[in-house]
Amino acid sequence: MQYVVQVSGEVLDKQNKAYVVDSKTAEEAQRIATQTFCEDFAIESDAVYVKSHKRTYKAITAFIFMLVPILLSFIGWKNGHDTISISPDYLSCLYGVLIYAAFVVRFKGIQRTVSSWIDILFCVFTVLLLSTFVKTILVTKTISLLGLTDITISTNVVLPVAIILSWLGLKVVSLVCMGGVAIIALFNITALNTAMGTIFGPLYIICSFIGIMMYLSVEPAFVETLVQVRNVAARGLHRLSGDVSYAKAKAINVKTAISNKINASNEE
Amino acid sequence: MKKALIIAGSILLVVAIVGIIIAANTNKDTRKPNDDAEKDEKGRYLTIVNETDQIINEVHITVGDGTEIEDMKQTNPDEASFSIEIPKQYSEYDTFTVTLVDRHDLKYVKEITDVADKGRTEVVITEEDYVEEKGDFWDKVNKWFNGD
Repeated sequence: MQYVVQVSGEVLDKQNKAYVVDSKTAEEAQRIATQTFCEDFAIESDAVYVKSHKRTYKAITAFIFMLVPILLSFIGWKNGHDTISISPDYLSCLYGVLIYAAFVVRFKGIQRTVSSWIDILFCVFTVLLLSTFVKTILVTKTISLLGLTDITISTNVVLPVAIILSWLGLKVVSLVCMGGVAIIALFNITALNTAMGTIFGPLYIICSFIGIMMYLSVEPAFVETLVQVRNVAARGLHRLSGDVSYAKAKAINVKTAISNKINASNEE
Repeated sequence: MKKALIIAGSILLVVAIVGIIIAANTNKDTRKPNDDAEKDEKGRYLTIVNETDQIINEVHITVGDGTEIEDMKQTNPDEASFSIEIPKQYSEYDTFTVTLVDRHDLKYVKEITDVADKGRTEVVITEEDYVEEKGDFWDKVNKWFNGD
């Protein structure tokens, strides 16, 4: 049986660490985790606060919940004559791996990612689930330009280009690209909503949500770095809102310049 | 400034009109409403009646040992019944095979013999005309999940 044992105690600053411990009883797991924590931070064992919960059963339940949307993603959902596919493929899996790798490098650590069969399975399931989300958002759309020619827009390419442009400082262009991706994604989500219907659509979303929540509840990296994760998410949102404010200011400038020109030409 | 806007608007309008005309003329589907086919006494038509209860994505019509008549191929017909004119170069044939492919890639095939020399000949395709092929199991799973 695996237990996630979270141990915290006063060192110089309060330290918080979660251990995955293999043991037959919760008491034994707590004892091992406390001992490891005391060794890691060189403190007295009676000064630590220990809280543990069973990981194996929760992990198995999380696997079941995550498996439902993964299996549903392999169905070709039909909307009229069209088929909407959200099954993982090479590119979406690559995006899934990149997102999960960022979490591994920043919070979880490579060692803990492959330390047990539960963690390895979580890695596979999370990547597959992320890739189905990516597949929902990033689609290839063909738009007819005034009936003259067809333009194929692949948001798989547009999104990374938008991120690079934002890093390079071309915030307005980046935001236009992001807006385009968001609009195309919205169309795809609407079509998918019709295609999946009133049973499988909610089932996909609810099982994904519960699966992810249960995974996070038994993920030691998430338990001990919740504050840091929150900070990183807030930084990301702040960056995006900064881009929006910048674009808004630019748009106002352009509008003012145009109205000034029109006024000047009218006066002439 | 106003002049520039008017010129730009006019150019855009012309381009849009040209685009719509080109788009209308490039529609390759050759199916006709049954009423129009009925009126055309000289033409030779196959009237496809879809009674499979499925959304059809492709219609293929073949003659002889499987020669497909490209001009009769249809994509995504929304009508439950429509007519397709048989090209004059196939006037010596009186046996045609109609294949409907539904949105789950399942095939319905029906051979029609003694097609009339003029006017419409009806081809009613039902669920019983389904032809099982390798790999249909997963298509049927898809069909079940999509409630068809």
